[in-house]
Amino acid sequence: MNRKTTNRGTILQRGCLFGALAVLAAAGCNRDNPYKLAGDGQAGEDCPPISGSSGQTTGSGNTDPTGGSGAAGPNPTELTDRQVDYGEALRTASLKLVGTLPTLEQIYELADTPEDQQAAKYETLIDEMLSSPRFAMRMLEYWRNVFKMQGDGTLAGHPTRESAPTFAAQLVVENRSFKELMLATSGTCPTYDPQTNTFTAGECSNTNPQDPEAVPVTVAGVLTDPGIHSLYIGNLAFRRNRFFQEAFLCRDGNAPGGAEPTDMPNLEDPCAEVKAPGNYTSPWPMSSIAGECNESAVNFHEYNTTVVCANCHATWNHRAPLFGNFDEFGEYFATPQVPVPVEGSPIATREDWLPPGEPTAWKFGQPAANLTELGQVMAADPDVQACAVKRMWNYAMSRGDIVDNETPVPSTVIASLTDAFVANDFKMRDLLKQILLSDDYVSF
Amino acid sequence: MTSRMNNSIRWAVPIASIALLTAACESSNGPLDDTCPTEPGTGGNTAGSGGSTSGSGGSTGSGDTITPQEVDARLHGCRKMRFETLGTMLRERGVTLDGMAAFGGSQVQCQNDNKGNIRFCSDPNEICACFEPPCAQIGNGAQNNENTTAKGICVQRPQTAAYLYQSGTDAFSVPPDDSRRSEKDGHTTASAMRLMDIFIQAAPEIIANIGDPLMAPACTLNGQNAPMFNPDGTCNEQAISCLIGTAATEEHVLLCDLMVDKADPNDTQDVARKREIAVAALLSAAHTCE
Repeated sequence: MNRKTTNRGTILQRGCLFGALAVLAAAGCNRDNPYKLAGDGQAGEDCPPISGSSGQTTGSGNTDPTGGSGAAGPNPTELTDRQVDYGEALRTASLKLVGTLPTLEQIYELADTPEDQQAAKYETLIDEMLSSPRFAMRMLEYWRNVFKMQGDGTLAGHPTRESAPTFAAQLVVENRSFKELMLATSGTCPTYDPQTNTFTAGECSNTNPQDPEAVPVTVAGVLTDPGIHSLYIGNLAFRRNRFFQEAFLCRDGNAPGGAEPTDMPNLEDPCAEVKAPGNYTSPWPMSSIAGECNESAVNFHEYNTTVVCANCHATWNHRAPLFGNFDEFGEYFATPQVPVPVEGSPIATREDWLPPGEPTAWKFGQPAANLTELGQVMAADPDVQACAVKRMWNYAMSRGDIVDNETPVPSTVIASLTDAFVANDFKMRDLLKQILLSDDYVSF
Repeated sequence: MTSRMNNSIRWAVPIASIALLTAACESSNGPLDDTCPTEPGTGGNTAGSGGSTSGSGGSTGSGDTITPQEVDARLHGCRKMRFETLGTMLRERGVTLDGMAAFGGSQVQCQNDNKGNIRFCSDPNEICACFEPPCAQIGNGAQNNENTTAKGICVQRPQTAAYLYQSGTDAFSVPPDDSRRSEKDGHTTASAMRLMDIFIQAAPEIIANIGDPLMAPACTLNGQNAPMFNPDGTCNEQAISCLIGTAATEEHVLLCDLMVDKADPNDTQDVARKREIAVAALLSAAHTCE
């Protein structure tokens, strides 16, 4: 049982070095460039931009509104100071993939491998974990957290909250396309048995024999999941809209997320007399959504000096009607089933969102007449595809939920991963593996 | 929680604590002396020179136009260990977390005060556990029905690791069903404190069981488990590796030994306490971040 202790890294040096670095960070920075340490060979260069809108500084199309504060940001030398540590990488990868630490056998299988062969051994161990029965449970947990839903409905008659996370987990475990989350037309409500590590195909039920008014809906991945629509029911389906925006666009519910903002609102009849305020930035004409002037119960044109409702509602109102026909049980109907937040809480009509004739859409310029079309435009949306990569990146890198924790991932960081994801038919298990093998992941 | 915490930082706090305990950094003859910088600033000379990888999972990495957000995104963060993961990890290392028997104590019904509102245990070494209110859900149902006032059961005080874990869902921000929330990613004061509490209370069980392949299957190597402490009282490297999830270095073993060495060898209770502290410190240092 006596083994020769390994000599990789010295935690004492690390710990004490941290103290020294902390002092340096506080006192050793170049006055003109707070991101450069004194003595850094590049200290004379300008600091990278640190404003809150940093996403725009990358010049690469990063429009993530959760762009982070940028204040007191890290020093770029933190990247070059890192050392490859496959042992530490295996430890944290194991927690992500199988929900526990690597076994002692795995730890020493890697540690006893010659240094020049450790990368290959590490990959072998990662493959083993990706094939472990425990991986399915971890992915189920991952999607429960992404979708913020789990368990059975707590109210009588409500559908399970497990079907959407289970379907998403199945796609990862079986290395299927992420696009199926939005495009699958069957098998979207599977069950999972952890005892046998088996996914069993299942169909969602959006109809109830006891409710003859419910009508069949064409399945569109999780867009028609009854659990999602039951859990996220709310006035005018805006809570459902927020769910899909956060989960698939990685944007806070109050972020526009509909297209690039503009300062040239285009007012059209019949609300031409409605003057958009100067800080109305949505690309849609303000009159394209419901308001007082086109006889809506809710005036989405309302604004004051600080709040312009239509900035966000211009997108939301074009999207939410697509989710409005599900009731609190996730059953689908031919007409809206969600209330309007006005006196009496009447059930919504389409005109509560949009003027007559105005088409529904995912984003400006991306119309979607129904949930099937919505799934198609979402699946083709580069922002949705990038969001999937960002979420997986943050999961692997222990950075937390991209929206809740405001941990944005600049497009530059995941550019090659996103390209590979697209080229590889959006296979999520391959994406996760690629992240776990990346230089950043194995460096500490 | 957006904090970035690399290995250095993650180990810094517990190591700093240990260093304070041992005063090793301050001692001219201390075993840690050689590894401590002699003055602030020396570490800065290494900046930018030691990295073996500057690439990224993405396409950049040149460093010329890198933004703070990009740097941040390419560093490992500090997510707390998932609640379920914590349980699995401890169970595989010899800790019993399931069932009420693991709460210890007499498990008799708590007594009521004169008003029937405050429940207590007469044994000062026990505490009334109203685990999932109402307390009537705990223990023998027939006995609880004797009184309409809900009762709990008397369990060991300080609470066992099992009790701290099973009652820790709130502290760890495990979301109730239909709450439309996910388990919180970062630590809160509550979760960090509870994690440390669980580790210190789990330490005796780990020490007792880590050498048993049946109790600690994750710690088996070549069909055998090593004890937490060698016959000469020093820390066992393999056991440490199993606790921290990566191959222990000489320094890990040294730190463990330093903590144990602080015990009065003639005081068995003190030796046991220091061993427990050593185990808990190793766990805390390794697993504050996932």
